[in-house]
Amino acid sequence: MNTLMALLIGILYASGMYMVLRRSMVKLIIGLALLSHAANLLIFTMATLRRDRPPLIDESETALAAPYADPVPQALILTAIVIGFAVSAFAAIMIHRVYQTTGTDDLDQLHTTDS
Amino acid sequence: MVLAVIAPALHRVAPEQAGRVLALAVAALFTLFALTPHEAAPLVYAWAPSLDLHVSLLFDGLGKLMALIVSGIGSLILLYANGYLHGDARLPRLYAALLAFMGAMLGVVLGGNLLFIFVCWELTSVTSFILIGFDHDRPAARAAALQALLVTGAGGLCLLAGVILLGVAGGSYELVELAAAPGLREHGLYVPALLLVLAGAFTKSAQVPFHFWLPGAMEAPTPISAYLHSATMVKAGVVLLARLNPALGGTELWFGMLCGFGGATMLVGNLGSLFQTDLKRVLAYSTVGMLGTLVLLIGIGTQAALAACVTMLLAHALYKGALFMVAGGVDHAVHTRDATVLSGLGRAMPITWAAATLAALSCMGVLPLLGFIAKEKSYVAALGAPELAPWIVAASLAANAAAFAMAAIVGVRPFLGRPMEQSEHAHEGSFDLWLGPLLLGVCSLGLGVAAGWPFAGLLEAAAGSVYGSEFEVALKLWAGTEGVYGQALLLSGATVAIGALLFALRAPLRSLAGGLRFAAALAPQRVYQLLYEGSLGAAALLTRRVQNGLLNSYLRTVVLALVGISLWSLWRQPHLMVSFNVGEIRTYEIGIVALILVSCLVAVRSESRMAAIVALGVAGLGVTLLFALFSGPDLAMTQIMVETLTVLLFVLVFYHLPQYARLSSSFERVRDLLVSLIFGGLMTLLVLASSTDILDAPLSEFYAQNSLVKGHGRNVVNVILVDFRALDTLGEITVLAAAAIGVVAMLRLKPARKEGA
Repeated sequence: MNTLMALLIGILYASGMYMVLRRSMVKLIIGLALLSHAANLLIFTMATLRRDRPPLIDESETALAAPYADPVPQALILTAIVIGFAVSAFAAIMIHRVYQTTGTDDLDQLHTTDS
Repeated sequence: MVLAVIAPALHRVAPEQAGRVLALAVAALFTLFALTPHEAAPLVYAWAPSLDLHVSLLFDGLGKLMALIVSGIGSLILLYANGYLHGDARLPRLYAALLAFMGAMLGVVLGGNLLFIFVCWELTSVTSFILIGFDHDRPAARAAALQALLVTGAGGLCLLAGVILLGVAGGSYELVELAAAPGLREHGLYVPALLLVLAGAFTKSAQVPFHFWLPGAMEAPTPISAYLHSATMVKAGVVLLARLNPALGGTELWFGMLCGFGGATMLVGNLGSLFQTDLKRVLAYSTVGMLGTLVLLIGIGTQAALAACVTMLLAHALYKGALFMVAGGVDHAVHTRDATVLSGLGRAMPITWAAATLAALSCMGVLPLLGFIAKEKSYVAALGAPELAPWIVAASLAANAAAFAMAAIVGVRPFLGRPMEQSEHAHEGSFDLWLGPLLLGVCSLGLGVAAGWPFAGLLEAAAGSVYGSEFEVALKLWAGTEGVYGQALLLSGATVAIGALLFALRAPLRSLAGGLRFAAALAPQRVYQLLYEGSLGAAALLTRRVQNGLLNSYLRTVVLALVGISLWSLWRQPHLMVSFNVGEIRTYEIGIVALILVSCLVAVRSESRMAAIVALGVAGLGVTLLFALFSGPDLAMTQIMVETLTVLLFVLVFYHLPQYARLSSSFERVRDLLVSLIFGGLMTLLVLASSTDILDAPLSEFYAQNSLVKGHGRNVVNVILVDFRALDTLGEITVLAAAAIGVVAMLRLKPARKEGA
């Protein structure tokens, strides 16, 4: 499964990067979203992938029983998902705004600070 | 240095007297220096011991001599500045800069640690930049200041490199220890170190071909020119060479470099001074020439030469400082410094006249003055040079004759002859203006008549510290006519005769050399200009190329650099293991991965924005499923909510944006595709190469054990977020809030109306 995940992550990164390199701002946003998926999966895969061992403590126990999915990366990813959403939303609105102001969504035309 | 801080405040309290008070304070310093006996052992205070950087003060003969010159002339200059820029609002700034410079200069001349000397050396460059550019609203002054800074700064870099090489070769940065270090001259690093140090010293002391910045520096007000560019700063290079003579001197290379460059500078400077008409530029060129003479004498390196060198150092500081101040006084009185116009001022300015005459006579090397002794000694030294003696003597003769004529132009001519028109308005300056030059002139006379007393012992010690060991220096006004002394006397006579001839011929000389002089004097200047403009142009070109304002190219550069560095470090891993851990795969897992891949490709390839957004959403759902399958229920829940919101938001926003257009050429597409594929491949490789269990750290174990006990929660991820790392979560919430505020602000803001539209 690890190998498969590695492949998936690579392709997600590649397509995200390709989209970010486009000149259209819409594609830039889609690329950012793909990149954040890729990064989340990367962190997820770096910890051991385990099936059916969520980091939840059983009613009968006082601590997590031995093979368990690592909670630390999960906490990181949770944060990353939320922040990623904030970034996406902000970027989408900003692009909307830039288009309103400049009338273009071509990044290469935005190479000066004056519009 | 401390005084530099006080100066502006003092000026506010007592605007009329500040200069005089400061001058008195520095004079007190002078007295202190004069009363302190010189000694060879340095005083060491550790400053940054890990760098071998110590504040070590070497108050030996040379140090004391220079400290006396710096503080003595410094106090007179402060007084002089008070008169020269009387009532000028910038006077406090001038005092502050001058005193800061004085502090740095004292550091250079007294420093016993090469690194410490270097620090002070750079400080003098910086303060001198401020001082030359004192009239910062004039472009010419700014250009001259920048030029001086760049030339001496470049030299300073060479010096630093040279000093470090010396430290490596000699095992110490302490001058005393370096001088005693065995085998330094045979060390492999000797030659590069010497060349670098010489580059530093030559730029600072305005040796050919770096001499051009010194006449340019005459843009500064006269007190500054008189102080920095005659008596002190330009001597820093000479002092450094003198300091290093015991450690580095005595080799063929040392002799050749110093005599070659010093001799050339001596000729160019002294002869060049004859072609100038501006009094200050005349003096500047002659200073260049004198610096060349000093370097030449250190290069010769015999006892006689070093004795001549220190005598000359003192004599020159006295008369050149005085002449500069005289030039400034004349300028102040009649508002011109043109040597062809000035005439007949003697009657109107008798005291300045007297000072000028004394200084000029000393510069000419006329009998009862200190300059005479110095010149005699330099002739003796030239006659006794181990090699090339006839050439050195001839060059010295030419240079001294030119100096004689120069002194006549500056110190004698303006005061004699028919009174010029403006001289009716000419008047003696205030007490501040004439005291300095007069005192220096009287010193020149007094020291000459008294044959160096009370400085004879000091000069002897100074020459000794340059030589490396003490030896006897006989300062006599009349050394007799036997042997070399007789020849020297003969040469002096010839000097006077040729000098007088040159003076008489000064007008035809100026016109004759008109064309020649520009070619000769400006050639290095032109090289400097070319270099300066070239580097500016190259910087502009580089900026345009690198900072082209295209996000695309920035990203490409970053990604490729990242890939390069990562691959390089992967390559250097001794045990690079790429493990294909296929393990157990279930069919539906393959299905999910395939789903993500397909939707990802659709998102990339799609010509329709909506299709792309939907595909993005599908990919997000696939990721959600993966989280759910591999024990991340919280992740799955969050992801699905966020994904839904994202898709909704994108649909709403993109609805208002234009359709896709074909913006990039095929070449750009292929290029970007390649970059992306390389990047994706690298990430795959990284995942495969990293062993899986790296995050099974004690940290996770801690949370697993304590989540319920200390956090009272059974969902470990939740407990981490809201309890153990609650502050981080607070930060996250803040980010969200900030983003929300930004979004609202951007939505509510009305677009600004474009001008002209």
